[in-house]
Amino acid sequence: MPPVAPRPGDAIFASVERVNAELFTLTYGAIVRQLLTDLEEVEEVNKQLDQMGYNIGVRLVDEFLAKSNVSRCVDFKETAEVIAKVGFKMFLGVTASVSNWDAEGTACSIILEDNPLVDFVELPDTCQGLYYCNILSGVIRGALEMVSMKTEVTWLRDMLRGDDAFELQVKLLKQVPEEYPYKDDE
Amino acid sequence: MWGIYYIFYSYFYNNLGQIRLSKSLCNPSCTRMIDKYTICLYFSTHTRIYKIARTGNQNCKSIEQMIGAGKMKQYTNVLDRPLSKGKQEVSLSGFAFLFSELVQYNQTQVDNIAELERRLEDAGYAVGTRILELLCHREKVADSLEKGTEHEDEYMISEKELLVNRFISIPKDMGAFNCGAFVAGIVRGVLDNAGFPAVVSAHFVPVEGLQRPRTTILIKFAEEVLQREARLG
Repeated sequence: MPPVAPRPGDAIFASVERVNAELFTLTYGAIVRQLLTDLEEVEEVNKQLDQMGYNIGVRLVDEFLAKSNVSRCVDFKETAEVIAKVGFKMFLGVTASVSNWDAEGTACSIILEDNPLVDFVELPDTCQGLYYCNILSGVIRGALEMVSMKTEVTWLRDMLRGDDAFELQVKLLKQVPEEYPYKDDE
Repeated sequence: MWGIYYIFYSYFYNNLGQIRLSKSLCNPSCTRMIDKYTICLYFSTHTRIYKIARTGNQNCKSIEQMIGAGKMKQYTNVLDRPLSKGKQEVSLSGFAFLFSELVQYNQTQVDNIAELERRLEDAGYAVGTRILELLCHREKVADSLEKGTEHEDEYMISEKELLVNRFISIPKDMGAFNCGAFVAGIVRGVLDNAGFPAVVSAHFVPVEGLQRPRTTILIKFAEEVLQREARLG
């Protein structure tokens, strides 16, 4: 049976149910607001957002793999391309691009021109250290960890801080081979 | 307020005598003072926000010239974007994931259900306030709008499968909890800021034939709203 071709991001996005992006944006804003009120420390909020993103990513990857039919990625380069082109499109409706590969092919930048999370958002002076979209870095980290890749995701550029785009650096730390909880010979 | 959201506030700078405003600029929806010599006027024509800058006694400069100065880039970005992005969409599952994280986070912060519902409602209230400003509507209208039979001031909006409740299952020990509290908060926020103060709550209504109970948003308008309606005839 011929392998099912991976569906392009647009096709999947058109086939899933969608909600108005503004509701999404405002809900995310409400979350950040609550965190800032509860935790007060910007660093703590960053960490909490990352943790929330991690929890999401862990479950999101299942849906992603189910809907997109991508085959096992050959290397990290392909992984990054798939995340940017299919993953972001499928869930956020925007396409990201990949660039700035390092020499060994273990680190790259994912660049987002358009980000529904930050519509109408402006950082006040009291929150300058806040990575508003830190949930995204958690999502990527969580999703990749579920497919045996330990990564580190950091923000290089942030539009809310005055840059012209959002740039995430995804660095592959190591590939963790899958561990089976049972022994083969039993 | 720490103003992480850009809210269009309208006050009018007329104490800076150097400003020469043309008629069309006489109703800015917002003004912001950057420094002693520079103010920015923002006004919206419902779909687009324009920023005109003035420095000293000169006439209005264009946006590009101000951006070129570089120092206010952070402020210009949000406001330069056109408002009419109402059609953009994200996937339902993305929203569902986000909402579930919101609920889970709040679960760790509170001890009982009522408090949890309250927090969700507050979050929804904030959303509702801003949704009103954006005049954003979902394509799908709610299943039905009914008037309550018992009291004059009660209205109900009911929906078979409320968006936020679709992906959430309630564990047994939280029997009465309803994530519709979030939506109730949104509705309350919209009504409050539109000048219709009301108490809004969400209820499960079991219906035969449907596996999951329907969710009803109950709106109870405050006394003054009814009096106003009576006066307006």
